Amino acid sequence: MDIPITYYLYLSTSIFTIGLVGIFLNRKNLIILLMSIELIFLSSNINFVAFSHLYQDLVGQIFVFFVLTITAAEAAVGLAIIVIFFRIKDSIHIDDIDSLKE
Amino acid sequence: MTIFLFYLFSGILVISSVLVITSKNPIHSVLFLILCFFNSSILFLFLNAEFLAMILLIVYVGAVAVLFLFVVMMLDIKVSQARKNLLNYLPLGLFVSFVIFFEFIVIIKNSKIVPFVAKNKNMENNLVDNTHLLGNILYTDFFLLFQLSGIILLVAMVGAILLTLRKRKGVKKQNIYNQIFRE
Amino acid sequence: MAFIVIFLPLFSFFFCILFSKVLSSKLLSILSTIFISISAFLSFFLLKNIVITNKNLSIFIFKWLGSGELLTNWTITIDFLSAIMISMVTLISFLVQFYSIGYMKNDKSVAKFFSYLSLFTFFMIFLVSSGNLLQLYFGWEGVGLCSYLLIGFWYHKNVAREAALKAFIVNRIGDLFLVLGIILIYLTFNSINFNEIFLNIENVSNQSVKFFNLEFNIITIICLFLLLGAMGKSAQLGLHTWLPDAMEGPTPVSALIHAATMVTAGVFLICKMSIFFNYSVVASNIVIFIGALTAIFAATVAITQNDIKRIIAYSTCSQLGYMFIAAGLSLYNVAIFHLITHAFFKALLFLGAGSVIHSLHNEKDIKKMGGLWKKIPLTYILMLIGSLSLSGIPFFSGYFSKEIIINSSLTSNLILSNFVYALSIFVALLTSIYSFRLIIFVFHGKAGETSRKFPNIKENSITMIFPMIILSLFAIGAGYFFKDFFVSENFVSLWINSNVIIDLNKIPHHNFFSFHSIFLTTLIFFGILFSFYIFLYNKNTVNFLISHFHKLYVFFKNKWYFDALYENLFVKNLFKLGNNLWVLIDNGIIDKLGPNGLANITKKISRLLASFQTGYIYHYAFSLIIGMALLMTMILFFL
Repeated sequence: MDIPITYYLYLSTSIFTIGLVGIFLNRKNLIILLMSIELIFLSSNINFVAFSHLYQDLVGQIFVFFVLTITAAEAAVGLAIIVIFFRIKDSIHIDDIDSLKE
Repeated sequence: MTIFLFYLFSGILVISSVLVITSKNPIHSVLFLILCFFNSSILFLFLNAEFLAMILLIVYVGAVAVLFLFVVMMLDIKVSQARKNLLNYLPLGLFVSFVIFFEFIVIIKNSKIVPFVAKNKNMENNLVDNTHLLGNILYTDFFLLFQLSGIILLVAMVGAILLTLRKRKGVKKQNIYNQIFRE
Repeated sequence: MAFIVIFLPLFSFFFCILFSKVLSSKLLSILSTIFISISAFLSFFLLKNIVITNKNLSIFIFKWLGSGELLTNWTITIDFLSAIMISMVTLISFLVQFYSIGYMKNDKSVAKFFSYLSLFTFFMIFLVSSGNLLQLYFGWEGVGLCSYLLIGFWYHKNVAREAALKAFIVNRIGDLFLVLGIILIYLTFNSINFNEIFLNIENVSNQSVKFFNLEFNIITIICLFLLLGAMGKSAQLGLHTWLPDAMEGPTPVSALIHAATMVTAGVFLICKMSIFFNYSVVASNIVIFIGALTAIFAATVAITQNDIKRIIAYSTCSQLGYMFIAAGLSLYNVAIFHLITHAFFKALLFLGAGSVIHSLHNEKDIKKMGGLWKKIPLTYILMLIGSLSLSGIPFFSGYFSKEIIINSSLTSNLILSNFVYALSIFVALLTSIYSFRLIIFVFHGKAGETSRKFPNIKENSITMIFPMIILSLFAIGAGYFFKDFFVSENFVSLWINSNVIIDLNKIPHHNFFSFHSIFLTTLIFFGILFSFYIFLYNKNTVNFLISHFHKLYVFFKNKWYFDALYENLFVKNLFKLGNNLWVLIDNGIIDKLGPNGLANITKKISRLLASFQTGYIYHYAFSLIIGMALLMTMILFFL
């Protein structure tokens, strides 16, 4: 008894879209933005694992393994940046981050 | 039965991910994100990827999500007061997102992927488990990449420490160099 | 070996440029001179080899241009003609560089000076050793460039800058015609390699072109274009105006470029293309005509000038006129002969003039000099040798070449021959007068203004005198010893091998005691005595002559009004035109629409674009996502 691959694809597409909407919707703080990105990564991981199962090829899972590594690194550095940003500006509200302009 | 469970978990996954982006309190968001990871790790189990499911739990829930939680709590973010132009970009965002969504749907519909592939019996009946197999190729074919990802993690760690490190005045601190060379 | 001869000067150029900051300028100048001396030394072996083996040397360097049928290679092609030229050029370059070590001692940018001199030598050798017209043109432009750089070497002087510009522009007029000539040759022969065009000339000698409904022989047209090109470089009447002004450059430059080598490039070109000129009687006659006019013009002007270098410059002009006459008479070998002897004694004269100027702290007016022969006796003797050689006193080198030219013009069967003979005799007389006028004003008589101002005038250092002594040896002996190269039957095959037309029958057998030789010699002696008489013993004669022939004097003094004519006719109008074009077209149209307009539009657009750069991170994220959506849509629906 197996679930068709397309189900997984629809699922991952939904999560991807939710992640995108999250980027647009999020006006509160940067951490939510990072979480949206985590969601997008998750959707891609689901795709990888689904195809790995479909074709019985472990390389897909290896890929997920590396994606996890990168995600962890990204989260660590991103959160570090947020921490020092907060230290400087005393806020991580997304509307306060406009110093790129200068 | 499996299909029912799939619907259940994927439903929870979608709902919780929606809640991640919509909840007002960032702590709730993080908790919902953890829920998301739990559900997706269960979905991974359906796909015979036990090792990744466990890794997802350990790495994401155990480390990343906790890190999120830790930062959220440490930073003492006020529960966001609704700003006026909060939903200014929402129509545009929804539009763009749904365009992308429907395009994905179109792609998936038109694709010629066979939903089920004839199972490789050898694989199925293999007594060796998923973790073992993964390890077999990870430490052979992908050894260099494995090492590289380790280096990436190291660099990320060093970067994160370096970014957040600061010297505060008036804090008593051990200076090893001075300590060793003390007269 | 030929390779070293040619590329050592180029190496020296780069060496001087690159190490100008590292090594001391004195060391650099010595090294540069050593390089050139090696080049000069080897070039004599080259000449010797050519003379012994009678084989042209051709070294392929690499392919330059290939476009359709036009194939051009960088080659070093050395025949007898080029070998002579190379030896002369490298020798004089070496001596001049040697001289410059002393002369430019106190200058700030010695390294630059030596690098330019080396570069010039390289281009000049390249010019004379080219195997095709395009490479020749490359060298031609290269020497023009170096001439420009060296005339304007003291660029802080306004006059020098203007003179450099003038030289460059006037040369450009000549170069334009040279290019036209080359293009025409290519159109006619489908080739610009000397060997091929000389082989095919028989086939096209009767072709003609229609121009303004008139038929012209194609060879004549080509020859006229080449002649105009040569006139520009060799400062012949009409395009001569740059040469006297070019004397603003350092004196060694005048000696090397504007007396010995570059200005003779025009004569070289005509001799190189002698086969062409041989086919066109019209062109040959025009060459003679131009040459004769230039000779008389420059000689008359030289008599009235007071700037020591300008007198010599006009004299160069006049001697180049002689060379043109010789070339026009189809005595190309004699033209080269005169070219070589002239190079030696004229370089000597210039270096001597430089020595005088150096001793007198940059005084150039001969009226302010005088009585210098006791103070700088060596320079005096050397200048005297140069002047005697220039005037054509027997047994000095100038005599041999000049005498042949003058006497040949009498025996040739051209329509102009009597006219040319009369003119050249007259010019010979004038030459002796003006060259001794210079000697008398500078070295004899009472001490002039500047001579009195600096009481302790000294002879210059050995580095300056030594090259002059060498040159003076050549100025004395070159005519006698090298005569055989040019007019002896033993060397005819060499000339034929270098594609130079040679006809020894046209040259009258030389005899010191023939009527014409004696006549010429007497005339020259008379000229010398006459100038001693009028300029030294009886100065009233000069005043008498000036007052009686006042109009003629003013006419000569103002250089036949050539400069004024050009100034009024071309320069002023061109300035006006240029000004109008600048205001109307450049500022009005091009700048407004072009740079300024574009700049304004860019400014506006960038203001607009800058407003997109809000600095909010989510805006960037949005644009990223929107871009992704667009890309996906495009791929999905339009590809």
